[in-house]
Amino acid sequence: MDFLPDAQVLLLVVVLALSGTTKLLSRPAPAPRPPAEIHGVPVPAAEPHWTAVLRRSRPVTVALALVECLLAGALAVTPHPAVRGAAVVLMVTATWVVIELRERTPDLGCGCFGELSTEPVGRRSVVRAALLAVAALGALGGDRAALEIVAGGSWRTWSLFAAELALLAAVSPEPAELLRRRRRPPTPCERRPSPLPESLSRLRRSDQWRRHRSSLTAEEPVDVWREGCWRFLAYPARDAEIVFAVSTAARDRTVHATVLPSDESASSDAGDPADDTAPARVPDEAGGSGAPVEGPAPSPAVERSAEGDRTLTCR
Amino acid sequence: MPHRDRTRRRRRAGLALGLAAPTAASAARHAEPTAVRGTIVDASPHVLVVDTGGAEPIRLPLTPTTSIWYGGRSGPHALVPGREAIVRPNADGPGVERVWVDITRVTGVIRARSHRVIEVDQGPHRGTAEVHVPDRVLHRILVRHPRMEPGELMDVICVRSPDGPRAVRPGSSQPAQRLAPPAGDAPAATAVQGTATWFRPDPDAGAARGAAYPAVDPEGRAGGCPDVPPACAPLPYLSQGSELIVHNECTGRSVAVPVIECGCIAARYCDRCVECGTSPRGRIVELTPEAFVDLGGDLDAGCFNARVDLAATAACSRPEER
Repeated sequence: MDFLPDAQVLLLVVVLALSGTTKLLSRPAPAPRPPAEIHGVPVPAAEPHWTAVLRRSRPVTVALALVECLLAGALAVTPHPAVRGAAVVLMVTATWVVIELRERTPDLGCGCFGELSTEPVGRRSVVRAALLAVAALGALGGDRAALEIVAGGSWRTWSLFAAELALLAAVSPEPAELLRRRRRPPTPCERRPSPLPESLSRLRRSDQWRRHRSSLTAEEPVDVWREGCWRFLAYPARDAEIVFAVSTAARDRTVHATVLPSDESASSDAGDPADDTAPARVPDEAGGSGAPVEGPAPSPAVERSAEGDRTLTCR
Repeated sequence: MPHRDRTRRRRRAGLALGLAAPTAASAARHAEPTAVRGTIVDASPHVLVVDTGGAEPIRLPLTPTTSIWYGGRSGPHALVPGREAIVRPNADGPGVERVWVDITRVTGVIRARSHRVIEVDQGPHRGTAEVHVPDRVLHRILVRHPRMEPGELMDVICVRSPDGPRAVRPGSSQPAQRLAPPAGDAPAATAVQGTATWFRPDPDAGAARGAAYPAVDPEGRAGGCPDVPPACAPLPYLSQGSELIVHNECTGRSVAVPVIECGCIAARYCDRCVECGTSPRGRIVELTPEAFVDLGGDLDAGCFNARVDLAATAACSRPEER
């Protein structure tokens, strides 16, 4: 019957390691500040409950995460009863704290796996904590460390471990919330705040930057502006101006560039972007809408080729 | 930003992405720039002479049907030399349809209040203004601004007076506080519907017809203000110099105007316009008085139901379409 405590040890190691890591990696959102008054009636400042103070404290969260990681590591390498006892104490305490959070400040969420879930503390969170406390108690009877079990565990051990893990996932709010987040559409690139250092970083890693860098006469752009999904950066170059367009999308940011002869860029007030003297757009990625122009500063004659095929309208 | 730089930006953005300009067909729907703004030089029951800063004053024929506004419905006696007039000529013949005399507007966040004088912060571009609220219009304004306390939004149509702007009526048809969360992940669109209002631009802006846009990018030299809340309507980030095609849904007129200022105060409003039907929430553009009147808007009404078309910008060009 060794498979019973062995499966509990495996479960505890996985849960503790996951819980500690997610707590360390996730940054909590700033606590909302309650309004000073509602409809003109002052709201008295309430003393926060101790559970809320602990829940919002980043040092406490980090300390708890380190303890969990340490305990997971200890369970993995040693079957010492003191380690098992510490796991029992931790899980029983966690169950009590979750019950307190549910009673006092359920809206804060339990933070059991960092900020993976913002769901209010409910019955499922309490059941999960209690199940883990039972698992910690069940692990007391075993005499093998987790690494030994992994090396020579029976099929019964692994089956029970998988079943318990599935049960925990079923009562946890985190998997469902992660799925919901993946399905939610991201903020469209035209409305996504994009800091300038992000655009500069992407630009300087692009093929377009490497291609044109030698012809630039300044390291900093002379003009930076944005239109929807594109941030434009204009750099002075020898007898020309180079305008880079860097996407503001959250990922897969593309870069385009165009070279404007300085006389054209200076006298372009009356120009029409669609006129047939327009220089060609030079795409960054292969498979873009036109062939890349080789060389550091293509001449206007080269750039004007085949522009008609690539001209797009917004409609 | 000088007009030349704004035009260069549009041209360079189009070249970098290979975009075409709006077609001539869409440009044909645009309203002609007919509104006139200037200082009254002379007036008679039949002619209004206005100095617009050009070589010669402009003579505008008045007719019995000409409507004159001076703090409310008024008459030719309000056309006093030295006052400012904003004039909309008749669309279908000679003569003047409407004249607004010394009209102004104060939009912003209340900073302080003492009895009937309200100090309003109009944002970093427009400074502060002290609005005098006479007793006879107080109740009307309280309908839209029930709590005129520091921190609350304020929007009033005013008439100029020696003591400063004097409130005449609220500039919003609804309480102005933000009620709905900003549309963070609303799908992208090439046109946005909402409310268009008007504002008094910086005289150095260099454009009689332009727009203040609530979502000007605060990074680089785009011209946006830091710490601006996300606009109530789902607006893409643009820059000074971007060109908007603004459509008045009440009159059917359109006009293309450049962004000349950050509409950081308009971004705080989440109200609707009810000039013709009920617009979606959010102020999507503030226009200069000339552009507002060109489109058929009434300055004393304060708003019209609008649609902003982004076809003239690179905002409707998405990376996955490249």
